[in-house]
Parts: sequence; structure tokens; C-alpha cells
Amino acid sequence: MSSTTGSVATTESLADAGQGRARASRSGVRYFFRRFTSESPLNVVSLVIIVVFLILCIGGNVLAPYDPLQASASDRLLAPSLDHPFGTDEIGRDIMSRVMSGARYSLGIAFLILVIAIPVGTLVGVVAGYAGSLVDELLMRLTDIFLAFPAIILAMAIAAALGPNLRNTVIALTVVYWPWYARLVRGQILQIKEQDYVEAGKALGVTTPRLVLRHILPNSIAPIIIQGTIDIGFAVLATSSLSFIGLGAQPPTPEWGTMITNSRTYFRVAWWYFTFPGIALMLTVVGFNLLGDGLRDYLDPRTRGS
Amino acid sequence: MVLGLIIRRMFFLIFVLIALSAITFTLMRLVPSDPARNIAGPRASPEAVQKVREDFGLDEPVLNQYVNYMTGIVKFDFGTSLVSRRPVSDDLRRYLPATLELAFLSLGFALVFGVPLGVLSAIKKDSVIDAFGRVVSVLGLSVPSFWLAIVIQFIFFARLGWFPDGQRLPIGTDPPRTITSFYTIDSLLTGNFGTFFTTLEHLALPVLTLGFISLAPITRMMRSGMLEVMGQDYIRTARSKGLRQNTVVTRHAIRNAALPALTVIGLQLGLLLAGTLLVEIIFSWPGIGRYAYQAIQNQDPNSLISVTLIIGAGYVLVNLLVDVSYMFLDPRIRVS
Repeated sequence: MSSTTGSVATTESLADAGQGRARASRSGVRYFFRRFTSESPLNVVSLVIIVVFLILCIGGNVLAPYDPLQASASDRLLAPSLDHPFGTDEIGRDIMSRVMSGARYSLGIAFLILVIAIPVGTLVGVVAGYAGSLVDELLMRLTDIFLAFPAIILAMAIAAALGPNLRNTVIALTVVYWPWYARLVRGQILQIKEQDYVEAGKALGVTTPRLVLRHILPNSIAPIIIQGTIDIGFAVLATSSLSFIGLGAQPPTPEWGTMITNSRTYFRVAWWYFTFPGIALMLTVVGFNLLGDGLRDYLDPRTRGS
Repeated sequence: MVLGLIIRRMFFLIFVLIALSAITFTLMRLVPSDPARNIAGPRASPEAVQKVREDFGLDEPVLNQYVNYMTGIVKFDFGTSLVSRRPVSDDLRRYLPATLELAFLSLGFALVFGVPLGVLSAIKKDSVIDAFGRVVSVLGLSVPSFWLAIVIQFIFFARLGWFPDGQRLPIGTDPPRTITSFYTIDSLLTGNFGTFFTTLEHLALPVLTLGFISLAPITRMMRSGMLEVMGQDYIRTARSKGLRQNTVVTRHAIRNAALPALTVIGLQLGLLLAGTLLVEIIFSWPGIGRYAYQAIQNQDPNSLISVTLIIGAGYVLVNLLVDVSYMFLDPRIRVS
């Protein structure tokens, strides 16, 4: 971790020629992909899974063979066939089209949650870690409260109180996720604060915001990326769990958790109805879990092989 | 010093519960819908709604309401459930044992299979068993519990017909005389072996579901703990003394690797309390998870918040117990 990201801070003052840096980062991306994919076949698997679901997340409803909301009275609960590879549901909607369009809800919402939770948590973590003393104590006790409970239970209580819809799912899950990042970033800041290059920056009269933004944060980014990757998977799980108990997406939205709820009535006669949304859900989480593990090994060679 | 830690953690427990109840209470009162209207029902007259408001103290200032609510909780008075029309504390006493029985047995299942799998994966690193262990732990981490429950129910109930689809006992069967409220133990204590086996049959599928999900982190932790321990100097010493592999593993390695795993196991028990929620719905298991689900469906905030508080308290308590047992098991922590 320190060898790859450490260079960001030390070469920073030299690389003010913006173009050179852009070129460097482009070849850096290519270098990353080459090394990352050659490190373990699982890394390739995870990238493939994630790319597929990202494509579905962006264009799933366009790529889907049928309209995910189009009912058809004559096609109720059809088993998988060439016409309907994943079968149809109780009002004749094509399940494959619904699973494909569903990526937008499950994955899109998970991204949204982390896009809010990570900056909020990072901000709190930076303030707590850098300010120290009383501010640190207060902020950390606040995160203790949130971390003292199983996330899903707290999210459930919040979502139930706010009312069942996707917006409130986002609110509830953001509320339970940000403290993890506050903790993580604070720990990083405490460590990096003591490093020589930070001391040197201080001695040179670098302002605090600049010191944090340009020197401390870039060096603490690796664990945030790893945690964020794994958490996307868990946020997908949590979103669908809330939808499953009726607190998230509402029918007829083709959200995976909601589809599984509806499938329960027909589970004896239509195995395909619950199977495919569940597999999509599981594959997404597997993808992000594997990617997170791969990134950890890649960015932090000390844990390699354990 | 152990006592000091326990006392400090008990204070933290109380602090956390107060904070959580404050959060949930605020949320409840933020909601635009009128709780009095909810209780009285949609067709109640304005006078009836007003009466409910006065009866339940909903016309008082919010801060007073919160104080009333908290004083109630201290006396184990969680208010009245809108669904069952009974005191929530009665409901909890009735449903909690079912959840605990399920959670304990699932944890037992996960330990019986997870610990050996983790140990074997580590000592036979990169073997077939190791690969199997890894697949199991990735799947266990990634599979949605409610979906796994449906799949297991489909296979073992709908298709094979080996096990019943849910409930603690078949409808019409009398539960064993209540001693511990755990049907397995009560039926054994009363010598009712028929009921005991029926109870086990009903437990099988939910325990399989939840056990599989808790298996993953336990296997993972045990494997990485063992890998770390096996590289230590004292293992090399034990080997060079001429001890057999079995002795090295069981007497020296597992004992040391089990300590970090203990934290994970404690955490799992806490998470199982929450995890039963989704699985109880599928298996119509009459525990607090299904109770919370019904509370959500019927917009019954008292019951839901009570379940949240109970699970939260259980979670903090289990973690406290883990920390304390850590000290007894690891003298290094006790001394420092």
C-alpha cells in the first residue's frame, strides 16, 4: 500500500505539469489491470461479473428482450424456454427482462448509498483524527452508538419509521454505513499524522486543509477503496433484504428483493421465479467480495496469501 | 480490573440503549402520520382518536412522552402491541425463546462444521479441502439469507418432502410443558421423546439456513488464525521436539488460533439474532423476527422498537461476554 500510494505525495510537488500526470495515470491504469488480472484468476472472474452487472445497471432496461412491466395473461408462470430463458411470473412478465432491469435498482442504490456514506464518514474521520482530544472523543462515541447494533436491524427500524420506499432505504442504509468509514479514516489519519513527510509539510508551512487533502488523504485511500468495494456488495444485500420485508422498493418495481417476495406464493410450482433474481443478487455480492479481497492483496502485499 | 471493565461496559450498554431509543423515538415522532389515528383505526371518529391520544399520553409534549417511554422501558413496560393487543413485554417473553433456540442451534451447527473446516483448510493449504472451504466461505458471505431459506425449503420440503416447511411444531401438537421454553430441552426434560424428534425436524431447515451463513466467517477466521499460528516459533519448537502433527495441531495450534476466532463467534451470535429475522419469515417461525415483520406490516411502532432494543441489547451483551471470557482464556490480557 505505502509503495504504490506513497509516490502520490512525494512526487506531487514535481508533477505540477498537469499533462504529464494525466498520461502517467492512464498508463498507471493499464499497468494496474495487467498486474491485477495476472495476480489471480479470481480477480478476472470478479472483474467480469462486475462489468456485466455495471452494463446491466446502466442499460439493462434497453438490453432486456421484453418490457419488464408488460403483463401477458396468456403467459402466466411459464417455465424457462427459448422465448423466456428465465420463465415468466404470475402475471406473465418476462423474468429475464425483470432481472436485467433490476440491476439498476439494486446496484444503483448501493452505489448511491456509498457515494453519500463514504464522503460523510471520511469527513468525520478526518476531523476526529486530526483535531484529536474532545472533538475526537465526541465523534467516536457517536460512531460507537451506530456500530453497537447489527446494521440491518437499525436500518430496518429507521426505514420502518420513515416509511417504505427506496428513498428512505437510501437514507436508512447511509445512516448505518457512514460510521464505519469514520472509524476507518480516523485510524488512518492517526497513523499518517505522525509520518515524517507530514511533519516536513508542517515545517514548510503547508496549510492544514492542503496538508490533509493533498498529503494525508491520498495516503489513506487504499483501505477506503477496499472497504468500499466490499460494502457495495453488502449494500446490495441490505437493500434487497429491506425490499424483501416490504421496506424498500414496492411492486411492480423489478427490484430483486421485491421479486423474491412475490415469488414466495408460487415457490412450489415455479422454481424459476425465485431462483434467477436470487442468483443475480448472489453473483453481484460474490463479484464485489472477490474484487475487494483481490484489491486488498494487491494494495497491501503484507496480507498476501493469508 | 476485570470487574472494572465489566462495569465500564455495562455503562456503555445503558448509554447505547438510551441513545438508540432516542433515535428511534425521534424517528417515530418525525413521521407525519398520526399515531393516535393509527391506533384508533381509519374509521374512528375524531372523538375516539382524541380519546386514544389522551389515553396513550400522545397529547403531551414530545419530551414528556420520551420520558414516559423511557420510564416504562426501565420497568420492562414496552407499551401495548397494536397487533396482538397485549403488552409488548408479554409478546417478547413468548416469542424470544423460539428465536434464541434457533440462534443457539445455528451457531452450534456453524461451530461443528466451521471450526474443523477452517483448521483443515489451513493445515492442508491449497488442497481440495482448502478450495472447498474457500468456496463455502465466499458463498456464505454472499448469499441472501432469505433466498437461501426459500431454496432450502423448496428442495427439502416441496421436492423431497424430508422436512416440514415451518413452525416449531405441527399445528395441533401441544408444546412440551414450559421449563426453559426451549422445546428441545423441555421435551427431553419431560421425557417426551416423540415431541423432541418432531421439534428437531422442524428446526432442521431454519438451522441449516442460518448455520450455513454463520459458517463462512467462522471458517475464514479459523483458517487465517491457524495459518498465522502455524508459522510461529513455538510450533517449530514443538515439531523439533518430535511431537506428532496431530499433537502439534490440537495441543498447540488450535488453542491459540481459537482466541481470535472467539470474537467472530460472539459477533456471529449477535448477528444471528438479527439474521433470524428474515429466515423466520420464510419458515413461519414464531420468534421475535417474525413478530418484528408483522409489526412492520401493521405499522406498530411499539413492537418494532422493542424488538430493535432487545436485539441491540443482546448484541452488546454478547460482545461484553466475549471480552470477559477473553480475559479468562488469555492470561496475557489479564496481566497487562
